[in-house]
Amino acid sequence: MWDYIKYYFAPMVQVLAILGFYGGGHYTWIAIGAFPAIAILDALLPLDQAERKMKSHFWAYLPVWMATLSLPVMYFVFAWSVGNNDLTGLQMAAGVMGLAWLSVVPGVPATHELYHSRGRLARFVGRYGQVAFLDCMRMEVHVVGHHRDVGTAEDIDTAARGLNLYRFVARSVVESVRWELKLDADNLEKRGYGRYSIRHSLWRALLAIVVFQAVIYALGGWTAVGLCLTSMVIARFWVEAFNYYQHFGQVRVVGAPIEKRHVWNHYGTLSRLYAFEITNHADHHLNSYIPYYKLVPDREAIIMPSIIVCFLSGFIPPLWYSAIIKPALKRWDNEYASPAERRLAREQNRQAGWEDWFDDQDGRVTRPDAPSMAHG
Amino acid sequence: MRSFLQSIFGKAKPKQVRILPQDVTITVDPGQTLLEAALANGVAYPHDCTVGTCASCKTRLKQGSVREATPFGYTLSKAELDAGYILACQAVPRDELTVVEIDPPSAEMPVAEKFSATVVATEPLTHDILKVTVRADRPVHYVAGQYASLRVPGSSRFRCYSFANAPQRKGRADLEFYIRKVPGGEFTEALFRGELDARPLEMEAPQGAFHLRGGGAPMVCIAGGSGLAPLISILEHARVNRIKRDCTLLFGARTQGDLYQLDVIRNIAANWQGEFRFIPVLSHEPDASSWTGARGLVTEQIDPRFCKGAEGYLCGPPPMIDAAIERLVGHGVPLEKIFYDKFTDGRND
Repeated sequence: MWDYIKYYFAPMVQVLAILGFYGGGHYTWIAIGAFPAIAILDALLPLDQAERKMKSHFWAYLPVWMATLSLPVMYFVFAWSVGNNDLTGLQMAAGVMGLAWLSVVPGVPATHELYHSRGRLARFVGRYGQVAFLDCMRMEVHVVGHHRDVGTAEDIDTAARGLNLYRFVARSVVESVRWELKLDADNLEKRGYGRYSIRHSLWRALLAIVVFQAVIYALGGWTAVGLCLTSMVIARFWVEAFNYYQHFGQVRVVGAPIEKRHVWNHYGTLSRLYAFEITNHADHHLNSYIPYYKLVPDREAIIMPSIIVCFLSGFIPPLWYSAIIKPALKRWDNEYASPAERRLAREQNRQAGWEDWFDDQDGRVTRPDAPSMAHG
Repeated sequence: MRSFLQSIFGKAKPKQVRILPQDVTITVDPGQTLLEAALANGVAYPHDCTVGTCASCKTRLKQGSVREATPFGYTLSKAELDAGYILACQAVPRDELTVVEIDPPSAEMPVAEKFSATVVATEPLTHDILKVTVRADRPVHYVAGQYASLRVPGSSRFRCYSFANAPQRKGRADLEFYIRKVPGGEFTEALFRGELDARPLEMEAPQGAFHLRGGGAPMVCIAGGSGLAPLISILEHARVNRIKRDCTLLFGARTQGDLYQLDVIRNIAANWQGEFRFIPVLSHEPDASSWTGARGLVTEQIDPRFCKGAEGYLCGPPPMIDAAIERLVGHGVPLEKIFYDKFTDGRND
């Protein structure tokens, strides 16, 4: 039962943030305050690589639904606060950042979980919950681009070595929008409709934003609209950071099967809970049908620090490189990469201006998941 | 009116799906996709990405209609959509009975075309087998198990080499071959000396009818020398598509130094659905060596236990194939279930 309760951590943080917005004044800082607080807490807590023993889909998914539905609620309460509490400029800024942060985590994991489901209502709510970060068309490009191409040069969500967070995020936003538009347009054309006919998901996405902002306007006027839109735009860029931390520097030969090593996993206790196991990433790519509570952590994977700590460190690229990702990639290249991947990795390192850290054991790499073969 | 109310408040009638060619009928729970229901019922359904982007689960809809969780048109072409193909991993049945058919791989045998290809990489696998990577001027579509014919412009004849890596849906421009040096052979001597590097070759591909048949029968694969190539292509492709069949791979070579691509085989075995047995057999390994595996002729290691209900896939020199066929038939494998590709070279002319 404790396993089920743990996942209420994310909705609880959101509820506290919402109460903070409602209270106004200094309480507006609760939302953004959660970011460093959770990072520190996660860094102090031990790693968690246990499987969950949860059987009830209903009870397991309840916090996911709560987290998703809380997204518009927190925007609405903040809008109300802008209209009714006397917020200082700084408090408004704190609110904007807090909204953006919560839209990213747990916004992305919760909506991702719902839109990967097969139920119509879940997919609908998952899709439009993403209005919080202005990306109601995300699921298409996520499955076609990210799942199909993960780790290869064709995946816009995989950052090449040497690419800093800022440049990656800017490029991802542009590319993901381009892809989202193209995918649906191509599909409509194949089905005999106009490329940008009313059936294109773009129109419904825009409608969602308009309706959302209309409610915000009703609650807090143009100031609220301006502030919330700012939040949503910041969140739109910030959500790309998830991909940055989960796939940075990975290489895979186009066409080669996706294996467990082709992602980064973050097994911090709170990373897993707060982000509904989105950081328990390896299994998800191998089988996207698996709901979050059934994902099995890959015990052979390279240990990464808390995802929230990563979120902080990425803002300072030299820190991200030296403390987190370079040591991880060095180990990955030498112990996990296939010979073809080593070649790709070497080339990326060279282009990034990184040192050559290969221990030159071409063909003799140890593969953790290789069994001994039966002879005769 | 009554059926409308029933659809909202009544208990949903269970939906059935009949899967061909296995002719298995399963029940699909509400909200389940076809693929999920099939796998839950133990039906070995080809699949890979589960998100509707790789087309491994491409299926022909023969009766009924389905809802698309993710639009099939993101991955399938207009021709495929018009022909009634769906993606099982994203298809939710609408009607009480839906009938679908999984196409056998041979349904997609592409027509052979001419290409220009250049050797871009070579890697020695053994003292006389080279892994050659060739880049074609455009992506090549082929079925795992087929081969390409290569010729140096101006030369008198083509040489045939099986594709060693799995095909890709969008076609593959970088192709791998395992090429054995034929002593005194015009083509391979030049190749091994590096004289053909970066020189354009003429290629006609894909050719051949050797491929993995559909269904779930156990596989007995026997490779001799460079005959491993089409089997690796087939096994890689099967592995990626999570095809679930028991498989025994017998690999015959002369000595330990003649075994190659063991890492690749290990990887296939580690990720194989069903049982995977790898049996390397050495015919000329010195008695005193450290080799603890099987010795003798590879065909002598064909055990009746793994032949029950199996299909045979054989690639290698003609004497090996002939002996293997005799052995398999002796163990009860019908002749029409044995498929082979005889590897001949200049020495056999």
